[in-house]
Amino acid sequence: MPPPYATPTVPGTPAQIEAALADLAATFPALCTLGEFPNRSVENRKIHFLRIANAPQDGRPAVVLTGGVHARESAPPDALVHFAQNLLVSRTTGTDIVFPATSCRPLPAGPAVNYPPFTVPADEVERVLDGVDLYVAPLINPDGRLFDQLHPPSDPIGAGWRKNRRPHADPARVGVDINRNHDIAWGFEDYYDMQVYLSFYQNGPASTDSRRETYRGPSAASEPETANVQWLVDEARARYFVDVHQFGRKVLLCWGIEDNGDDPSMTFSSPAWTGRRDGLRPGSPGLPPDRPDYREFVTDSPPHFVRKTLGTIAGEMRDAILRSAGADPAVSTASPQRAHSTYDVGQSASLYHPFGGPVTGTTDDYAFRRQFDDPARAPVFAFTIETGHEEESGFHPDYDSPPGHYAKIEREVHAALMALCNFAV
Amino acid sequence: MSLVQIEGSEDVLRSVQGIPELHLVRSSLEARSGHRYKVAAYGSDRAVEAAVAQGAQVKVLLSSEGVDEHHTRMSAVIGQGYTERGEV
Repeated sequence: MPPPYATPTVPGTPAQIEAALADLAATFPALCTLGEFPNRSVENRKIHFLRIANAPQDGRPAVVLTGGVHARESAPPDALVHFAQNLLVSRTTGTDIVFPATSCRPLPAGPAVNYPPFTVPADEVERVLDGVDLYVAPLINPDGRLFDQLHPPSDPIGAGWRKNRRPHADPARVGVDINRNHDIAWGFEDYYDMQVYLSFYQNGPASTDSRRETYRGPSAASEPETANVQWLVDEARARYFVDVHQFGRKVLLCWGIEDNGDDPSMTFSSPAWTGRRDGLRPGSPGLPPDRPDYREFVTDSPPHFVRKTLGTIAGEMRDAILRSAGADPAVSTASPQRAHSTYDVGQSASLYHPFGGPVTGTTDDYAFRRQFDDPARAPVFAFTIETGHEEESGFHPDYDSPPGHYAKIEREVHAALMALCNFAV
Repeated sequence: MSLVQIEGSEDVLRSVQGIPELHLVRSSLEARSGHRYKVAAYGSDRAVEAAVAQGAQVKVLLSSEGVDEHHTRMSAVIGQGYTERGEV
């Protein structure tokens, strides 16, 4: 009988996360395979992922889940490991995944919000695992995570470490932001008209300065950790992709590089638009009068209606989180549970508008682009979830209960990812 | 560095963007009623004071001492286990 796996009370180290994955593959060999990424981390660590499926892919849609891209975002890797553990135990024993009633004390001083039990029925788990090819890669950036864990805030802003650990003789220049390093509009000077972009926004979509947290790296996919994500997206032929981050209670859909549009001549690969995409919102006073407002093409035609379906899936993830908190998404009655569990759905490109513009080189945009590179891959639905909130201790949620910050985030991750998997079947 | 919520008009939040030692967390931005916005930030005490001086409403969620204590405590617990298990 497989052991029950408890909700973690301390963030797992990279070695512990690796051991947890190996344990699952050894404990559930009929359901679960340990895969090794082709590239070791910058600091030479092997990185693994799980494939959870009880049969060859054989036409089943691949769902790829990643976490731990940004080092200081403590919860996603642990939540993804526990998600995998819970699925496998449930599928093996035929028991429901049960989160008991719990409470969470939001900062700065509560009061505690009580949440009812939340259950994922065993037959739902069975349907999902019979219906999808599930890949769980909980820790893309192990070097960064360990550095953040073992070094109390050593960065100038005290928020913790974000990047990987690409070495540099100057300690202030160590690391690359993996989530700006992917091969999608990495060369933002070619993608946008940067003069127009910066006429409205204070900062660019990524940084070329290695001292900055959003440093894009020396070249597209230069980092082994980035190359691993890109490899998995293609190796698995991902149909659904979610990168789990912290924090902000957001379910974000692609694109992140520009507003979505319906003109098939406006694509990231079109040379006619090199250096001419505005990066601005519709109606912006900065839009050049001599050209149309650029919007990155997303098909919305049969049979997949990708643009509409992105919104549908994101909405289902948002609603599932609300239901897990004991709030009915169909009814707008105010309650503490609703107030502290409402995730906003929106497009990545406008996440920070009007204070910041679209961004480039992200994991989800890379996954999303693959359907346009190869129409035979269509469709691909890609998302980022920003779990947790500043009232749940920001990047480093408290794993103790009380206050119950991590435990709440973990429930929300389970709810959202089950909603995605249910849609995918 | 404190963990704070900063709320204000678009003009106020644009002005606080440039304050040194204040790191606004992009993914935490929320629009509020009355053309106001809320964003979380990590900031030094003087950065927080500067934001208030610019007209922002600031709510401290975790003081500098609280952020440091929390991370130091977790680092110690994690580090102890890491050492005991002989991890690399």
